[in-house]
Amino acid sequence: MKFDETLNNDLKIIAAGIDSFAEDLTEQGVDVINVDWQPPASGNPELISLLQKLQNK
Amino acid sequence: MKIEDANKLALERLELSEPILIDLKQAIDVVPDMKSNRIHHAGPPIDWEEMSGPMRGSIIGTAILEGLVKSEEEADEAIKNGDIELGSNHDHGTVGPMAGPVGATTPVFVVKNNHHGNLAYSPVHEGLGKVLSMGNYSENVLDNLRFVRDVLQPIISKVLNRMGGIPLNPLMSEAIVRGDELHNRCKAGTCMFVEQMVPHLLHVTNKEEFVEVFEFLTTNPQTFLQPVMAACKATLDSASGIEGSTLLTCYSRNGSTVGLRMSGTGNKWFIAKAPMIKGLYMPGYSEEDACPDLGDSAITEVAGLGAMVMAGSPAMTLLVGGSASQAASYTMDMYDITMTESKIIRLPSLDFRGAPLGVDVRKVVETGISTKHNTAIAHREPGIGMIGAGIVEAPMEVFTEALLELSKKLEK
Amino acid sequence: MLYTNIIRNTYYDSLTLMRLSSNLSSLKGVKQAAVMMGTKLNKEFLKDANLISDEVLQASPSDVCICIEVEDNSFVKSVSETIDDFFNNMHSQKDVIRRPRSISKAMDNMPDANLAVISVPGIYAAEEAKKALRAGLNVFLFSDNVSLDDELMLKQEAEKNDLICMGPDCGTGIINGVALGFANKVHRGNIGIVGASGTGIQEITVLIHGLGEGISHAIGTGGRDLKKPVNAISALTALKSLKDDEKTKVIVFVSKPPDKEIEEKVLMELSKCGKPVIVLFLGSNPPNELPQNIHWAKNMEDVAKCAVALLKDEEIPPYSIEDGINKIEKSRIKDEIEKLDKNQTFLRGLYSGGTLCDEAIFILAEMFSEIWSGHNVGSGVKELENPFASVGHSLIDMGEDIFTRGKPHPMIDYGTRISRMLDEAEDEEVAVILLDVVIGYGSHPNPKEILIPTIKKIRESGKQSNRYVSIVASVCGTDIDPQNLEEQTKALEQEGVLVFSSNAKAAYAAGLIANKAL
Repeated sequence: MKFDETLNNDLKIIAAGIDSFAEDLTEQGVDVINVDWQPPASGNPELISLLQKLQNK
Repeated sequence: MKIEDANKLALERLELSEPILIDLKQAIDVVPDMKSNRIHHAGPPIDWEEMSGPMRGSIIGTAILEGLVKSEEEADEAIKNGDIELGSNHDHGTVGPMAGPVGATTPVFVVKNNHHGNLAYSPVHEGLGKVLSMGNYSENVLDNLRFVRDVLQPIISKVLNRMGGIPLNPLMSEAIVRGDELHNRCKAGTCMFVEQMVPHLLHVTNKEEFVEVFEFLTTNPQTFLQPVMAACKATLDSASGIEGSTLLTCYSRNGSTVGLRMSGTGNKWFIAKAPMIKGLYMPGYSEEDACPDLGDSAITEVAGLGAMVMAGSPAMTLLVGGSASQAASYTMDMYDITMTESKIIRLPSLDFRGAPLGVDVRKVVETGISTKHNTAIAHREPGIGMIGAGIVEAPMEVFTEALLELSKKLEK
Repeated sequence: MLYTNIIRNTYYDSLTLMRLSSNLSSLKGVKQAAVMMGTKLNKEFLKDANLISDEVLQASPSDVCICIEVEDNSFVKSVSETIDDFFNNMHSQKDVIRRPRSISKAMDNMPDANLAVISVPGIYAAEEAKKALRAGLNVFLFSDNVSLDDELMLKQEAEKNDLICMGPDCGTGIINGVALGFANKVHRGNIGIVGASGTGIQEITVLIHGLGEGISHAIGTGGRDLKKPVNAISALTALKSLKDDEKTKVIVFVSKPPDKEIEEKVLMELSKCGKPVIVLFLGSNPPNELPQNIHWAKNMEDVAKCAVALLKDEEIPPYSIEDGINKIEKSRIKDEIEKLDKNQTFLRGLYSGGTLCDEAIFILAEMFSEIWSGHNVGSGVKELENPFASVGHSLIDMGEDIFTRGKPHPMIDYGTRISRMLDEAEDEEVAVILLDVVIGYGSHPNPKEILIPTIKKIRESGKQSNRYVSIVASVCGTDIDPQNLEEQTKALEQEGVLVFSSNAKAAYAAGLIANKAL
């Protein structure tokens, strides 16, 4: 949704990362999904670059 | 070809597949490369010396059954000096349960993928308890297999020919709706499968034969697993070898190693050590007694059945803790690593959402979520048989190795 | 002995019965246990396991056979209780709540999502933000350590689709009354803020709230938005939105001093927005000519006062920090000065908010000839060679990377700041320690619980060496914040801390104390 429209609408939020940010949003009564985020390829940099290479092929 | 286009084509092949059970024949008549002194087994190829207990037992039993040898010692010698040749089922269009032994006269279901014309094979499920596929080659077990070869095979062959084949997609679809996951649980499918054959069976058997065959097929709730496995193999093989595709086309285990194949890397095996299985053990047994992961039946999950559709099989939920939401979360995880949803297999418990279909090896590596496989657990010693059931995860390294290989291929 | 129990004409799945078998096997006094349907095959198994009895041999395939080898009769009771328990409590309560594992999977469950709040580690942040923007979401990107190239790429991607990328390194936002990241709970109202500084936005919103007015939106842009390759992309998007927003009557723009040509560009846009604007480029002087609708503020307190006056269409009162300090406060400052020894002359500021720290530095730079900072702030302020050791009048932003490596931000974790407080208090030349206490969403749930014991320790050790160290603080928060402004303030005051309603005043007061001149 365009940003200027968003300012006039209820926020519907997808959160990824620090859990307490999502919890604070829930406490404020905001509709939020807290993603169970994990680093790609368990954070292995070689595999991440391999995946990026294959993503663009 | 771009990876996305290659995968699109591979998925199209999966979706257009139409596996039909057309016959039950002796392996030598249909299985590629099969000859009188050859024995095929489950999983990726493996040396005789490296084989697990159940795998060795099953090969010895098959050699005896085929009349190639009379004892374990003779079998050992014949294999070592090359008089008996060994090979992998998957390399020959075949999938077998557990050790999955297939000799020259072993009857195999023949499944034809009607849309693409390719064939796949799978031996008859022997039943529960003491069986050759778990490494037991006692006289009772061999007798049971002689019955399969001498009595069952010609009769079922006639039945299937009379019927003009049995389309398997509709049967599998309904079995799932009736609560099977079509790997560890094939009860509903077995009922429907036998039910369809009964009128024809009556035509080609006398009373005594009918009772024998009927009892054999119905007392074993896993009878339907073998046509299903062959259907999965026929479907996946049609999507194999597409340049650039990251579709998972095969995952299989021989009790010592596991092997993976990906469409874009064709028939190349990516191999790792077979993991142990977490599960429920029969009274008196524990993980210490278990053989590492074993069998070609993991093909069911690769094709979108088994653990992939745990959400749809109420009775299987106990394998994952007992609640419906636990079972559902297993299937939900699989949507994170698959490319599409099945139009054939639909899950009532997920409001008839299509089953997760088409594992993308890239997504497995990216998310760290591996494929999960329901499985029976064999005793590590030959002859004892099944000692439990459980769930096992494919090791991540085979997925990453496949991707590395593909990346190398694409750079060339 | 063998204990056998047959449940007639009852079916249970083999998995259920295996689970029960394994429960029974683990009981004290049970040698082995098997629970199976009475099929031919199962009877053979029971026979092999020496668990067979006549009763079992006669059981039918539709009977459940419970066969247990117990050490003696005394264990039968616990066995039958376990069986009853199992069948009575088969319903499992272990509901799994499964969360989607990626932003795109979350979109399946919330197709009308309009904002992604991303705070994953920096090396993954750009990729996640890109995915969110491509899926049509606005992004609040809290993560730092995102490269300048990636920042530019993200902001261009956002701009192309009429979206905004707030951040990277965006600490604070209030959109439509919703606090994002580190933000305070404030009244809703008609003052809109665009800010390239997190605690800057927090301080301004809190002060506006304290003056009885409220916030329409407070839009963070990330600290580098007004630097060169980024060219204020997000700030301009935010401005455009506030310009068209009916709720916003007055606009506040706050940032560190931008690059000159970007400053001109921003001022040009602000001049065209048709609404009164207050600009604070912390530590920089106004250009020779300012457009008519723009008012130049000196610090964040000044910003809040101007904004409220403009909103009420009142004349802007002349501003000086000194005038804001009341009689009672003055007498307290005097009391503090009297408690100090002759050789206690230095001020040490230990900050968790970067902009709050900068503001204090600029205020104190006008009171002292030499000020040291833990980071580079320019304007003739000296940078400490070793930010871990203070000299003279030092002000340290403990939210800088060098202090936070591998640790949570000091607004959440007071550990590093507390041990630094204790160190500074031991320095015989230190007269006053200056603190910010930032509350609100995201921050520590109850800072007084951490600070009070530390202050008590300082007082105790001061008594022993017959020395008093003055402690001055401001609490950045409101009466409706979860941690509650009054509670935090009162608790600190009870320990003799001088607490001020703004950071500007606290810094100024601390300066007076160190100077021993009121």
